[in-house]
Amino acid sequence: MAIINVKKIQLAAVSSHKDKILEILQDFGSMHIENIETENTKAGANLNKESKKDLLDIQKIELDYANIEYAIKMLAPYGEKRGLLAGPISLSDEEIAKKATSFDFNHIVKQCVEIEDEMAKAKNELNFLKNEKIQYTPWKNLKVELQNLKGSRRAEIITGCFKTVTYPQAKEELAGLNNLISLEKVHADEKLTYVTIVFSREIEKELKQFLVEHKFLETEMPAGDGLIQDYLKTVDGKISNNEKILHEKENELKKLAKNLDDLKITYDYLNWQKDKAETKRKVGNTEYSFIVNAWVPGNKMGKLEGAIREHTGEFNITELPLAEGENPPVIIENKGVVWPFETLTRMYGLPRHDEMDPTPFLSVFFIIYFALCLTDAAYGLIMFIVMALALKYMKFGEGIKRLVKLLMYCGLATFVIGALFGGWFGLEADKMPEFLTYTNAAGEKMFLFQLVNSVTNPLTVLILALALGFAQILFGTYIKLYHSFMHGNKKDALMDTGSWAFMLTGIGFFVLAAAKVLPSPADTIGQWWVIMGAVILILTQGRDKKNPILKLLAGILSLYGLVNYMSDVLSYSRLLALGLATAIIALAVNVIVNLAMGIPYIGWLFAIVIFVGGHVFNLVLNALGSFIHAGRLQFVEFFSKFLEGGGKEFQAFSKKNKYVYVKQPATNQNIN
Amino acid sequence: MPEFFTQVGGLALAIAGAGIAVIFGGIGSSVGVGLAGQAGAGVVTEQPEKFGKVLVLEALPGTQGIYGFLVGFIILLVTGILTGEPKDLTLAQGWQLFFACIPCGIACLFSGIHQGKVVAGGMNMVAKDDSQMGKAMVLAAMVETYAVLGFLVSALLVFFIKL
Repeated sequence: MAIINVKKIQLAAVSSHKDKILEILQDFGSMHIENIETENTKAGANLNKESKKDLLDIQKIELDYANIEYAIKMLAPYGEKRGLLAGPISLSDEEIAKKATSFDFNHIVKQCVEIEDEMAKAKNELNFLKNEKIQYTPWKNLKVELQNLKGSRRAEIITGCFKTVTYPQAKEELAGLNNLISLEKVHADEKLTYVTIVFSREIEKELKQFLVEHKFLETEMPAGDGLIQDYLKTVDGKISNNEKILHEKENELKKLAKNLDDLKITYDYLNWQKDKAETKRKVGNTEYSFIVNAWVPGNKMGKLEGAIREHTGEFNITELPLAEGENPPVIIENKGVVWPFETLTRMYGLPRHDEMDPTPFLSVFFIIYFALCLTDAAYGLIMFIVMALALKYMKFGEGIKRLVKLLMYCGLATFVIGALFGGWFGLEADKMPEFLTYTNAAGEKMFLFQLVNSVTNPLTVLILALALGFAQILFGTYIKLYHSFMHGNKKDALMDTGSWAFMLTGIGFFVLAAAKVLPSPADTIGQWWVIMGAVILILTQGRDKKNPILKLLAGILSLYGLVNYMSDVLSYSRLLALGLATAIIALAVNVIVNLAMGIPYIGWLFAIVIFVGGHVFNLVLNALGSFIHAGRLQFVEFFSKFLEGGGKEFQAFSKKNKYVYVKQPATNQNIN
Repeated sequence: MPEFFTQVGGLALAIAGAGIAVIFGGIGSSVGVGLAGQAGAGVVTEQPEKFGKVLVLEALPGTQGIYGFLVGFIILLVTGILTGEPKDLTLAQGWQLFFACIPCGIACLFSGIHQGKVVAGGMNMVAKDDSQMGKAMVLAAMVETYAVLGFLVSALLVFFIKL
């Protein structure tokens, strides 16, 4: 339930065991290995980095890795989709290694490259041919053979088109221009009229001028012999030929894609190798031995030694002291019900190693806030059931599993709180059958179990939201007080955090007394408490100033901090707003459903579709909103009271998989 | 001019208020979702597998339009237009409902647009590293706060104005 204590260690062993020991460490999977700097550091001065051979190894693995990544990307669109229920490929570590080492992926990569080349070529040609076809189809009635279009010694031929609109005029003018011109129309459509013009070379200049003026578009005919009709036929032939090639190649890819699972397994395996090779580069070498600087969870030290000793005794592990200002990597561990809430902590970023893990603290608040934002028992129940089924029948990686489980809890909480607020698909209690409802003291009709109607009585909810917010902020202040008192300067803890905790508790007490929740003398006590709190703040907050006047001023100025606390508490009013939003959208859906019911005969059909679609939409939209806003209240309002964050995540050197789901994870760290 | 309002009547002013909430909220969200969508399309072009995450992010600036719609809807509800028996509102009541809609309308207009910009930036985060998605969402949620507050005030006003 907390941040795990990690130890800084140095492992030294004989070089000949390097590969094997790294493999053991990777299987061990709970070691955060630091890079040893050999340049510019005293400690690294006598150490060498990787040998040439290591470097070559890495290059080879990286090449393989890139190749297989390419092949997977290429084949993925052609592979069969795995069913949602089938989940990811699941194998044990040994099975993965066995598959990957016996599988000739290079052969497949090579085929992929070849097919891609051929497909690219065919596609290029196809583009070219299709353009040709578009360009020359209007000319298919041209009776002149292509070789004759070159003209003769005296005469020349131009092919091209006029705009259809201007063609009649152009034709007339052309006839009047010179009688050594013959114009023949080949084809006309709405836009263009295609013509051939035969003319004597003597008047070439004159004619060209004329054509430019009339925006004549010259078309160059394809080189070759025979009629253009025949040329188009060969183009058609080539097109279908290329299309056939593309089709064949796609089939080949489909066939290759049958290997996709094996490729993915190999990809994961190579990923391990790559990780191992990269880790090798972080290690320092002397002539006969190598050194690993790393962090290990304190409780796993014994296991680590045992694991290496199984292989060899020629090693030594030394625990190193923390350097000044050094930040160890952070692991948080939460068990059981609290575990899913790590989703939120990780979303924000891990706490620093000397702070507290906020996960257990935020869990209760988060789930209540989520439920208050959604406030619909029926939605909660649906969410709970869907997530529970998903957990039971589908396989997830660790991160997703955490989220799904969290949403399942959220669903359950929403069900309970939704029932208290009487949210059932936004239905109204006074339109419901008798046995589902009761009439409360104020004469208002309520659902069974309902205590408050948030639509007619939003003020109650607002007060509840603000009270919850105040409680959480007060709680955060006390956490800070406790933690800094236990781990830091006790005097500073009491004066800085303690005085605020005193003040805030006093304000809470005062408000409760003023609202007549507490019996009579409490309000006077509350008043004096708050005044005393203010005095303490004024006296303590300026204590690092030397000048007594500045001391006093800094103290008075610190009271301004109250505004921050107030704005934090007011921020919790969003709980009411989001709860109302869910209720009113649900109401809107129901109103439209009622309208649809009015359509004769098939009204019920529309009504069902709108009811289901509308409520699913509302559920998804507001669940998303609830999650974000309930989370934000933790991150911004709550965490800021006791947490700085920015811890570096403990990145275990382990076997990380992207595609394969490992049947028995060696540790709980290795699936991201 | 005064005769104009007397002729129009309170109900019409209430409807105009509903219009303001829906229209401004809608504009805010349209612009916001539009900005987010453009950025998102860029991400999906390169990395189609991130479509789900991009879609979720793109939906965030959509809430402002919904808040506006809700205020509009509550107006339809409290004025009895939905039930087919519209109340006869006085001019003063009409104006009250009209002004009650303004906080939500204006807050949603600006909040939606700016949330869209933040989300568009968040798309870059997701493009680089999709494990940063949560942070992108929280950054966007900061902008939404003010739309939520605007909606809250408008909704409470409309509910509690005596008709």
